[in-house]
Amino acid sequence: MRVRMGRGGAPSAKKSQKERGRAGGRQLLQLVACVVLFLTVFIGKGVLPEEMAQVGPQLLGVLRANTDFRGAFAALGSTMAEGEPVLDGLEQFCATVIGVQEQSMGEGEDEPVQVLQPEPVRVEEPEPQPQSDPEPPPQYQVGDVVQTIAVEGQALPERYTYDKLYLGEMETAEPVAGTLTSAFGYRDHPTIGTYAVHGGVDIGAAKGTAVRAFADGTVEFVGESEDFGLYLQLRHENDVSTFYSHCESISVKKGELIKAGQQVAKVGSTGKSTGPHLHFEVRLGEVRLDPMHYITLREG
Amino acid sequence: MLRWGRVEVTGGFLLLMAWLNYCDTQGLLPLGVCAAVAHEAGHWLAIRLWGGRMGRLRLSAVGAQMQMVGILSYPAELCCALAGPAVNFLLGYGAARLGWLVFAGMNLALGMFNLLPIGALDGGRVLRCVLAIAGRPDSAMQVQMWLDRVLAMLLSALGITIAGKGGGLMLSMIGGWVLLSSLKIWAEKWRKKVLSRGLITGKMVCTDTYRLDA
Repeated sequence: MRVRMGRGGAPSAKKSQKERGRAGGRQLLQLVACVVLFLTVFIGKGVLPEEMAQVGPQLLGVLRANTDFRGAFAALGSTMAEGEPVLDGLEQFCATVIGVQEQSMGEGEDEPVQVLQPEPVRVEEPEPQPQSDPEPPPQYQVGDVVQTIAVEGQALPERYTYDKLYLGEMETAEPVAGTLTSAFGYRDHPTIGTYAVHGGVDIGAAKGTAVRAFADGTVEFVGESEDFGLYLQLRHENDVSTFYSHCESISVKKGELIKAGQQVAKVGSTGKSTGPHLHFEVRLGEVRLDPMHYITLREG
Repeated sequence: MLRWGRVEVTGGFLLLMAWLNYCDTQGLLPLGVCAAVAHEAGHWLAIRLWGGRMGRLRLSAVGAQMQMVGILSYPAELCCALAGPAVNFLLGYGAARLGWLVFAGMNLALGMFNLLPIGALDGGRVLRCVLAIAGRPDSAMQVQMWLDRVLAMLLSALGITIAGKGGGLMLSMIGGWVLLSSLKIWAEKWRKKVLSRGLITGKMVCTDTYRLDA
């Protein structure tokens, strides 16, 4: 009897007829499966193009459950850079990737679909950079997670994150002198009435209050819509952009160069708004961030 | 199955890569591949250092398996198995210092994942070698197989629970993967058992194909 002593390389030459037949049968099965899969997608795309286009992102959403893998890896990497206890970092990483959150499993009475608390409770981890650091601070790249924020409740969809990302070094200004009336993340939408994701913050202020540019940049576009009223978007360096809406009036044009703190608009209540306020968003690329990480509001 | 020199690539592997590429919207796949390549290189280097030779590198749907030619003592095998994760940790530490946080995190995650005591992973091999060195080479495989069954069931159950409660499918997929790769090992082990009987000589055991998985 021929004994295989861990020898690598080519399979044994004396393969039996049965083994070859079995291998052939399995290959045939694989081929059939591939053809069926191909035909399903091919015909499906032809007959039901819209449904097929929807299935892709839906499937992806279910599989990934909106986990920000890149952010999770960056957070894990940062624990190594900091010299923090790596086990904590690993625990956090596993929790993020597996999709476990500190959820309350009780069903709400009025909202059978939502399983969350009305006020998200922020569990902030300590800032990784202490004030007096003898060593130079670690080099962050734009887009890396500086601070992971774990928030109770439902996970944000893709392209939204509670985390504080590093946006680079730029001089910033307060967009408006007002008070925070609605935070970033899940909330009861005041006019639509459903629990939805708020992509920015609402800052209440008197009508006509100056709206100022967050940082140096150019006016990307100016527009008007039913939902946002009068709005504008500024593009800053490092692929950061800021969005201002519900304005009463806008005093800049598309393509204009803007300095940080320069007035670009006036606070209003245009669009779907219950009172004069500025809806302010901060984005890195396509990901919407919590603007409160990057602005401080004076007590109005 | 495609073959190029001593590297075998199965259809399942190509499908897996295509699917991962499709799902990857953040550009993580190239980084992951780099980390995996470094991992395998670590194994290869250690094998060479201890006098072995790489027989075959098989890339399949459940991972990368490096087959070794030659027989190693248990301590040597232990070192070879640890070499992969070690490279990942070194690379991760270096990357963290340079500020490549995502790559650092990936390496750390890959290294730690491979140290889990699952049969198909380096951690399983480490466990078996440790048991063998501690004086129980015969029961090493038995212990491993039982651990695999328990872990596979546990992970799958936990994964399904989490998925049911709205968390991700990640754990369920990992549990399923553990189950799948364990089944493959058990099938192979059973086949090899018949062929390799009677070759235990003292401390060195001619075990089956050395699977140093990514």
